[in-house]
Amino acid sequence: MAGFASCDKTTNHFMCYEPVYTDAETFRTAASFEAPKTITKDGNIYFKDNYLFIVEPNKGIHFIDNSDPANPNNTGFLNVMGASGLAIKGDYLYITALVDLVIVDVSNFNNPTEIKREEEIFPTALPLMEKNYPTTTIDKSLGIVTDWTVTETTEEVNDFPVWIGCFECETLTTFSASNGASAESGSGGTTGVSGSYALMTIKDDYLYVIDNNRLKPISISNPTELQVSDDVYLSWNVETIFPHGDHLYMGTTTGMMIYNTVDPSQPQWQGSISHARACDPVVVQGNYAYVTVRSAGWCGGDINQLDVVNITDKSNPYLVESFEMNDPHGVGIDGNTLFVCDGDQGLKVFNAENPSKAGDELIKRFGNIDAVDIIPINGVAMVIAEDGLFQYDYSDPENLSLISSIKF
Amino acid sequence: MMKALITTTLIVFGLQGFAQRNQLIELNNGSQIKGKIIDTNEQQTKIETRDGSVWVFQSNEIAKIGSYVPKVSSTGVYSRASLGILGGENFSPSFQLTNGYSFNSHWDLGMTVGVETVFWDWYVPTLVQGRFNLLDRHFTPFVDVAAGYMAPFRNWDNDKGGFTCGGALGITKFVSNRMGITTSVGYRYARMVELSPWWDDFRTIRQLNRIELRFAITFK
Repeated sequence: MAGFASCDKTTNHFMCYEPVYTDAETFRTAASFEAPKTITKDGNIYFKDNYLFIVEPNKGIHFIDNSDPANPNNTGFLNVMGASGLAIKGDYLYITALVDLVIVDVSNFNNPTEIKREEEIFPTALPLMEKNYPTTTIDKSLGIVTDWTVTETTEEVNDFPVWIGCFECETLTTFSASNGASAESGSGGTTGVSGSYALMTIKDDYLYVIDNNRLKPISISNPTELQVSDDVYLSWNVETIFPHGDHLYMGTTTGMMIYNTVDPSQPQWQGSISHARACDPVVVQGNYAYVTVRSAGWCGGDINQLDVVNITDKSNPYLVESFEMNDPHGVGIDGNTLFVCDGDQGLKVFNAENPSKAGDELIKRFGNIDAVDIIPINGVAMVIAEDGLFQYDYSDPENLSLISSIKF
Repeated sequence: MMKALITTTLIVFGLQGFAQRNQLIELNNGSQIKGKIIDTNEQQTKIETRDGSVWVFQSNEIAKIGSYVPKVSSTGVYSRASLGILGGENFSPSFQLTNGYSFNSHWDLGMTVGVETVFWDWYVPTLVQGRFNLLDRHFTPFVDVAAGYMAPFRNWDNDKGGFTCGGALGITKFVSNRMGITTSVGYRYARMVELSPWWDDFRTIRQLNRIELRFAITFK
């Protein structure tokens, strides 16, 4: 039998991302506003002053005049290489573009102009990855990683392992700063509202950007002279951020964390609630946080549910109730109307008058879309889906209706 | 390995003891007495039966003295329970139950289910098993072939189990008309597929090669 000791053969078959490099000069070509382009992919969404902004991951931002939600008008495309998320305060649009933060003057939505770029502010940022594949070794001396090519790889391994990485692969965390389903607040100019898949948000005079397990507070009191504070190290991998009151709520792979912003330059942990490993966008209204816990792909875990968490005592949040869902992604709430983007089961609308029973009070389900994220505001729910942007009138929650759609 | 040797030794000595008690005296009146012959001479023969009784027969009463030969049915259903050890890059226990049909004294076909480990994970092998008995006797060598699927006992989301097949050479000895014991040595191959719980589109394929040592009891 000893002769058989080395006769087992273990082979890993997988897809691997190989970096595509762009030299710094090309990468930092000033953002340009171009004619409208067809939206090709669901990215983060942001709403301000009747304009809806949709991130085209790694490429730029679509500007959509949504004054008439029944007839949204795609007015142009802001070409920003590496764009992944945005937030707006006053006349300034902040865009996370891989390692840089780009500041754009949007005093005129028809003529946005790049005015400044903070270089290498996110040194570990990488382009968005559609799939959770390992990456090959990244050599930063070759330029800035702006894209990926996917290669099929077969690799024989000696051990009988539980796979934890790939040979000569580095698993730098994808930086996917985006904007959260948050009613952001601030002085010196109004901010917008974002979807619940948020890794970037504005609260008062601070821009907060999540970079995996770090929170980077950036003072924007002087919009063109940013002051970057020390990173706040977070204990868990954070996926979404939502500002509410004096606190920041962060969804992580293992739970929700609450940080207070008494010192806005250094938010402090105040409380947390844990759950099994999964992805979990979070929104907050009143004394309740609504957390969608999803298990799929890189999220890990095996639960799919809506959690309602009582956050009256920020130091001791507790789970009020969980409701089984199918594949919950983004979540939004406005008044008593709760929206859950439940993957291929579509958009589910609940009556949240009694938060502890919200998940049982289904008002309506729009099952013909693969809903990803939502911004509900002023009676219009803007839903980004796998294949388009859909808008619903919920001014009468009992009589919800689709009012427009832009298919990708 | 030491455990396997000890087990083999015990079985061999057990079989020897069994063989000593497997003698038969046929009397002139047609009666048969099975047991252990403890004394024999020109005048008489003493035989001790299984219950401890000692019988003495005069030589003129005895038609024949010989070994007991079971009369095993060549066709019909059978059940087999086996315990084994799979050895290779790791050692693991195996327990299998087979139910099948003997078409004649040579050919058997059965369905096997069992439990086995591969490293730290438990699997349920489900196999179709064919056997060719070389001899038309109660003591016969045989050739076994089997193929089927190893289903994981847990972690269905990621562990997909996989195809398995193998062959074995062994010996069966029926110790009564209905019960036989078997020992065999064989080879097992398995191709196990596992999906990564973390990465997308990431498959780990393990091709396992094992030596299989097995002991079984067959009821027919």
